[in-house]
Amino acid sequence: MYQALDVLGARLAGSAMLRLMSLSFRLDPALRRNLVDGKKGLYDYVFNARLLFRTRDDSVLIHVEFKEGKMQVGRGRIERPDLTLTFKSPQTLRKLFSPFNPGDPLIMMLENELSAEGNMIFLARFGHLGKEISTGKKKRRRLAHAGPVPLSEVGTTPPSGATYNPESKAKPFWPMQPPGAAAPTSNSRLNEAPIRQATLISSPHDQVGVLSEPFLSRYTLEDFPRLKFIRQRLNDNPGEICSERPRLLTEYFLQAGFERDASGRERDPELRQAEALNHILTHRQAVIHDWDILAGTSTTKEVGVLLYPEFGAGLLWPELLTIDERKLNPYRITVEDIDILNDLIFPFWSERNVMEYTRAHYGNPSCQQLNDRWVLYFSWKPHAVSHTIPDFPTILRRGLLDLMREAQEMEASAQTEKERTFYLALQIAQEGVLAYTAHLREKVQEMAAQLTPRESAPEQRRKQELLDMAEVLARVPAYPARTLKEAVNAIWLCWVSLHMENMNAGLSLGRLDQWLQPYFLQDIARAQSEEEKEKIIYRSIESVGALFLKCADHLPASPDIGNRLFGGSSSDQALTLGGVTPSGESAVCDMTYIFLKVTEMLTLRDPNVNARYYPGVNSPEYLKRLIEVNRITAATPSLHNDAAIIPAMLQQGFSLEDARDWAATGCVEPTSAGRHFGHTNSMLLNTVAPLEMALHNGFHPLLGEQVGPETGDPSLPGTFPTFASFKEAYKLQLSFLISQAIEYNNLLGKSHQYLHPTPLLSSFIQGPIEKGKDVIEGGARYNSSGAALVSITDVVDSLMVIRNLIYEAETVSWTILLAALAADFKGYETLHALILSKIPKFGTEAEQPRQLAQELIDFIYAEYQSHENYRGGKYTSGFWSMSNHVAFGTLSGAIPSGRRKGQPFTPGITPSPGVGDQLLDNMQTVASLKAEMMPNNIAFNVKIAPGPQDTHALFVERVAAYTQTYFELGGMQLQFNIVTTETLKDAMAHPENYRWLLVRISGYNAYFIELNEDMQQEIIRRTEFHLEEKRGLV
Amino acid sequence: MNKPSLSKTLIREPLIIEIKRNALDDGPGIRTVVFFKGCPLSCVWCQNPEAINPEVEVMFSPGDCLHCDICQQACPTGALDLQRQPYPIDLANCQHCTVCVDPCPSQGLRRMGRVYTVEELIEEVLRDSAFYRNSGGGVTLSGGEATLYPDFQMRLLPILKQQGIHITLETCGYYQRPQFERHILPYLDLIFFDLKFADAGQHQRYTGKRNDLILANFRQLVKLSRIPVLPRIPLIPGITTTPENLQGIADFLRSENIHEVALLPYNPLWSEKAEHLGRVLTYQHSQWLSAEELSACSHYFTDFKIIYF
Repeated sequence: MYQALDVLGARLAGSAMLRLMSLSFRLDPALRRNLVDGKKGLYDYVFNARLLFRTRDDSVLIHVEFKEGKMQVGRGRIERPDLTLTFKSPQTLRKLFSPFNPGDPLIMMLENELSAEGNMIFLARFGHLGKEISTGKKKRRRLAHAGPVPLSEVGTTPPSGATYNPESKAKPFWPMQPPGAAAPTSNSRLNEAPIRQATLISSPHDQVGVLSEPFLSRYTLEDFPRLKFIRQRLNDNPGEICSERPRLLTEYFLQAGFERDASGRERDPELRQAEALNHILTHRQAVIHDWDILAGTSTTKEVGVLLYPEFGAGLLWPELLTIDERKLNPYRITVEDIDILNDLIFPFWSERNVMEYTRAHYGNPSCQQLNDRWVLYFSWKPHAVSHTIPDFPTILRRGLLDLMREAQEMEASAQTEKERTFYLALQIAQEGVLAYTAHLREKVQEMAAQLTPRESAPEQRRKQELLDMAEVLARVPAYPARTLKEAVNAIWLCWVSLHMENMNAGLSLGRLDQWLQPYFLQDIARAQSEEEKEKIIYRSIESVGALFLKCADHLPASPDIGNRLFGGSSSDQALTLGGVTPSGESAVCDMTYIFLKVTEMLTLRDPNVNARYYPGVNSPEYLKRLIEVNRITAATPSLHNDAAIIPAMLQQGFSLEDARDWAATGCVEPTSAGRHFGHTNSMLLNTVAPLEMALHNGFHPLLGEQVGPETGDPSLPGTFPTFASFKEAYKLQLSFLISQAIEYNNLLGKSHQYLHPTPLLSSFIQGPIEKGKDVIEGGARYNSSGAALVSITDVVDSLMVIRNLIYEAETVSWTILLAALAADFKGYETLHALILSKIPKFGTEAEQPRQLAQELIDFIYAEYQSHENYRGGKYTSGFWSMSNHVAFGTLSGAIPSGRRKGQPFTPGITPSPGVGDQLLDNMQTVASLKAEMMPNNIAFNVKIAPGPQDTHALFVERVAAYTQTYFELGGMQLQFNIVTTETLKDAMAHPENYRWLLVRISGYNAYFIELNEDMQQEIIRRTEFHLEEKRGLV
Repeated sequence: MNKPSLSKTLIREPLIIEIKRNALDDGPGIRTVVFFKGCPLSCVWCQNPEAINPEVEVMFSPGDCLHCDICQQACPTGALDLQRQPYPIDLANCQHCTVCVDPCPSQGLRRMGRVYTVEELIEEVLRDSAFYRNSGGGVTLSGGEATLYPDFQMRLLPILKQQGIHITLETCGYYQRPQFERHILPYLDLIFFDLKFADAGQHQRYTGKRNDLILANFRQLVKLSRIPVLPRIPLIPGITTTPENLQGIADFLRSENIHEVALLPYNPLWSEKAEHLGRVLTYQHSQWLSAEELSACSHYFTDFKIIYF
């Protein structure tokens, strides 16, 4: 029971603030427009909703009703609330209504200060209304008159000298001189280390026919002024909210209707989405930036934030007025964009987004409510189904006109109306891509025409570039590509178009080195001399570099809560190099090395570069090159073992050729490239939560709720007579959460089928054209859904403690262990020390924890495989965590492994930092886990601190030896952070010096300075391995 | 310390202090180093003081101690008192039973030295054979002095050899030649041979033994051996770094037609370990060897190929 005074205070504060809000709406017509208006004449919206605010024990009950522009506040309950906010205590309720520093309701949810039941977008909107009253007018004035907030006030992101000046648009649209006068403020330490170690290269035994020196050590970024300029542009621009896409989408549906058309007929979802996409692509601005050689942009901004209101963009609502001021990842925003999002876009999608449609359609199912608690599992499907890879080879080989012709033929011969509509939709979607291309072509021609022949040499050069671009755009993607340049531009145009349809979250590029190699070879074959050949190599590097930089021209719209959950994450566009061909030969080729060169020079977090290595098939020199690039970039590419992943895919029913043709998706997950719809990041599940539940009979202590089934209370004597009986309880709780997460995913999948079929994606994946149905309906040749299991290591270590101390040594009782956990080990220092020093942990040479890990992995595999997804595919399990090991950790209590309350869990399937400096044991343990049981791959982090005396060659040799061995032993994946703790600490103190410092989180890359502090600390805390011991005598 | 005479080899199972895996500085590639306990010398600067005495010892780590008193209660002779500084055990009353170690919940007390059977040791070192193979690494025998235990090595080394493991020996050179040549040398691939003093008196003074046997062993080894033998000189400030000594060692090596030498810079961290074992220190020097000092030392070996450790 709460103190009476607190209760009274909360009641008064809550009511007072709400009544003040109500009064404000009554008195100020400008504010009232947030609730009801047709201000812009576009969308006549009314915010009608009932909200209930309560404490867990109902000691405080306040309700609010928004109705036809009025806001009424009352005490007690309200019938059928659209949203109920349950606060942990009267104090937390007061926090939300603090007049000085109101809490962000989403963050409060993440911190378990409140839970919400009902429409989350309403919650977001309510958060925004409060800010409208407190800061709305001031903010708009400031944005309108003073321009954007100077970046020096915007927290950590860019360095000084990068102040954004919108007036700079007045300059000519390309620079007269190469950039470089402006001193690069980036972490030059990393980038100035192009170590030209030609000695490492004997000739690699791969398919490298053209490059005589495949490491391309003769080039550095300085040789590519264009790439350097565009990279600097990214550096200077933290991202700006772009309302173009959501505005076009919403405007289209306002005219054409979403559920029903003007005549009141129900709309066909497939056709509806195709037409909407076509509308967007046809009406987008054709934008060409300075120095661009690839046409097309993801947004109208230099670096734009893409918004998908049909998914989760509405969660940005409460931040619209403050997003340019937030500490982490601030985005610029204009008044116009704030208004159109607030007045038109977000209201239109409040109940049409996947999350809320599902809630309404399925009666707020309990599986969805569990998801909303944040700490049990996180479903990605309310946000995206993008984790897949398009079939670029077919696009390049045939061109869109040929694909459209095929769809037309299929339409003509289709048996059912549904199929006919589907084939029609494919054509409409692809036609949009061609319309966008045509507009871009007009634009570059217009730009070229403005340049008269009398102009200076650089302008003439630019004119020629523009004319060349126009020629490329006349060719692709309508017709087959003939050159590398055409191929790269075709890929980019299709990529942009796919992002107009699908959220920029994990849509992945596939095996671009393989797919582009034929075009590179054709270009080379046309060379007349060695000199010309070198020029082609140079231009190929430049084209690939331009594509990389294009991939970084957009950012995902991350609400502040996303900074906690997926801090520093980009769009995670995975790109995969090397490995073997479908027929099993080494696939490492000239383009592999060109991509590696670009990766090394640009050091970008996105695209997320992954490299496949097949021991015994790919050359050791190639492995060394991969290590070298990791050393130079500090964190990329991540390395995968073909010899482990291909068998894991075979077990999932892929043919041998298709298994060999895999590529990483999003973070690390294997997809058979171009033919497999595997939404490989459909969910992240916290495996520690069921442990806490098993320890408390299904009750989750921090949530304060009964979540799972009652599996027995260990504090009662005799509940669990054996370790096995407790392990069973854990498995029951785990199984419960898995089935709930899967149920939710399947409901969301069905919502997608109605709300968001994806005709363009369907036309770029093998299968839908034959099957006559969308990928979301199971049209792809292969179907599956992938799950990420977070922090199994913490569970294994905890179970080992229980097994050892309670059941084997019998030195500790359940009562004492539970008391120690409740006290966060305070007062139990001896027990805590005993746990840390004497219990065998996962990642040591001890066999028990390894076996236990395998047992749990097998159990999880079987659980997932036993379920079928909404389109007839299997569920696959993997062990990586993005950054959720930190977020889930902050919401969890102390656990038996000795990890204290709120501390991060371990990333991926990496042994815990407490295990200490045992690299070989770590590697052997992780490598011994059966790959077939982890088909959605793993993330295994290894942090190596380069020593001052490590020579480059020795470093590469040694790390290559570790990697080779780890792979020979069966390890699936390995990702490095090659950085010292001192560097990381210095980067925390002086972020301005480390703009491009790249780190691997768990699967994806991020810029270290963009991470929240918890995540920065987690990376610092990771075990640091040294290659060279600072030591004299033995 | 009641130290038995070690002029002869020991005919019993050796204790092993540590099996250090993923070692990168004790021979080529990735290696496992086996530290045998017991050494015929007792150098005043010994970097592994826990390896001198062949008997089991207890190491105390004040930083890890929780002061929970469990160890005191466990001690049967009352020799352990956590108030005693810096080492809590009164060695005069200690029976070396080490029953105080197991109940310690932290790493406050650790047992130095345990028996491995040959089979156990082989299992332990073969664990990493894939890493040896890919890096050109292997196993390094160190200590203490591995040659003290020919009886053990004659059972261990043939099996390692059979498995194709590269074997390196780190030795102080004070061994009985017949047994060494018969049971150890045939299996080795590389030898690091420590030379500390050119002068026998100095050797006696700082290591407890004269160097006649060591130098004779070195000469013989260089003459016979088909494998590389790398002389290593520990650079102990004020002791081995004197001009006369370095000059003397360089002359000796030249006379043996040796032109490659390894220099091991002084590392002061040993003294803390020695204190945690209850030793009384007769030599103290808390600084690392500076670059200038190292350069001065290397001056005597300008005509040698120098390997810096």
